[in-house]
Amino acid sequence: MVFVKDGEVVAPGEPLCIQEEFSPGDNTGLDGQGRVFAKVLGIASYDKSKRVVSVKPLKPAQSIKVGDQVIAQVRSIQDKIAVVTILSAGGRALKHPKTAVIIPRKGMKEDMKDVVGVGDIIIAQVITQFMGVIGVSIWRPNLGVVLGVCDKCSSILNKAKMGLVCPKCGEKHKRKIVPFYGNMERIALM
Amino acid sequence: MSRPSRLIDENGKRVDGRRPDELRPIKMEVGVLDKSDGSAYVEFGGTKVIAAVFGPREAHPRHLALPDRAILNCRYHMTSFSVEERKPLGMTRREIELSKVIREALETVAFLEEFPRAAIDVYVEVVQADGGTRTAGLTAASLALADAGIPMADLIAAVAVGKVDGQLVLDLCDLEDKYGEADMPVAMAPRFNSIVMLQLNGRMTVEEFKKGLALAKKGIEVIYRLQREALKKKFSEISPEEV
Repeated sequence: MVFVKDGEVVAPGEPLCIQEEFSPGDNTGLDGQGRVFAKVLGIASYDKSKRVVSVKPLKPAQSIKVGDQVIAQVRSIQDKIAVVTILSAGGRALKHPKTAVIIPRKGMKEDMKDVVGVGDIIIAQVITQFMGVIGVSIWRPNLGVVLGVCDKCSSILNKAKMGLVCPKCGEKHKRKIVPFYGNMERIALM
Repeated sequence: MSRPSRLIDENGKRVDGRRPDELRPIKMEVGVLDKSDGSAYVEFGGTKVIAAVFGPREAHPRHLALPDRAILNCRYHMTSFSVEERKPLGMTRREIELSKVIREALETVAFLEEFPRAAIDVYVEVVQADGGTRTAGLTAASLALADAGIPMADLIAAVAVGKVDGQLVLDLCDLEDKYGEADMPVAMAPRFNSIVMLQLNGRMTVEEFKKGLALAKKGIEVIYRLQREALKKKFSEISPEEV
């Protein structure tokens, strides 16, 4: 038995159908009587081939999924890991920034301070999410620092032949940069 | 405000002209605030309440974060101008208690386990108080949570029943609350037919309690319908492309 038609607006708690008709999908739950209900305000959507019912939310809570590409700022660095604040995910700025950790690659010999610096803006990919702890990777070629900041004078670093150079104090820095480092137009599109 | 000689007249009408089983005029609006993640405005006659939700966001301080679910912070507050005599700004014992009661009621329906190590803040501001502020606050908070996109098992609808001049009445106004013999706020998750909050000030017999609960359920059904309509009305104002 289906209580709500496909495409109809549903409120949280509204019964959608009996479990025998459609299995609960995204944003739906199953109550003790075998009825599938909506968890959020949205549009009911029935997938007749997979026999799954889901609700497309009106205002989805901002969430980060494994595989998402994120823009983040480095907050602190330890020997082999770095703590970052995720500012945007999947092309959307987060209203409430989230903390994540850069996971070191296998057999990593260099220190994390030779890969990123505090204050750097990076592009990373979410590779793990467990109990609210987000792990990101910057080891693929298109991932890494997109805008570096000088450790000494906080100026934005320029790309040089070998690594990055501070235009103010002349200090040289090691970073794992992306091919389009410093291209603000490209960064703005991400 | 002094006590009227009778709270129910010879025609069975209450001080504001309602029948004993009649609700006050109700107005509900969702998404009234732009800056918060979810918000709602609820009016029960002269009682006016705004609720706002922030989150899910990172829990601060971090040591308060729970590894398996979000923490729900709730603040019920009456503005200084909500009552006849100016109310001091700080949180009173009553407001602290009601914040806890509202939080515990909301925790029964919100799927907090979907946001580990996060925090969700619920703010309930009573703009004008005319009886039934905790029930109006809870009704508004539930709508604001739904507007914020927090997954919920059901909405919460709440109303008070009381005993006035020996008679059971629904949705008490300020005069009935002050001078009546009993006041029983009830909040329910109507789909599950489960009571998520029940308090009782004053005295009722077992029979009166049963009748009062049935009366509250009747009122809650109406409020629940209005809640769903308010949420869907907001949806109709948004074009399908935006979803």
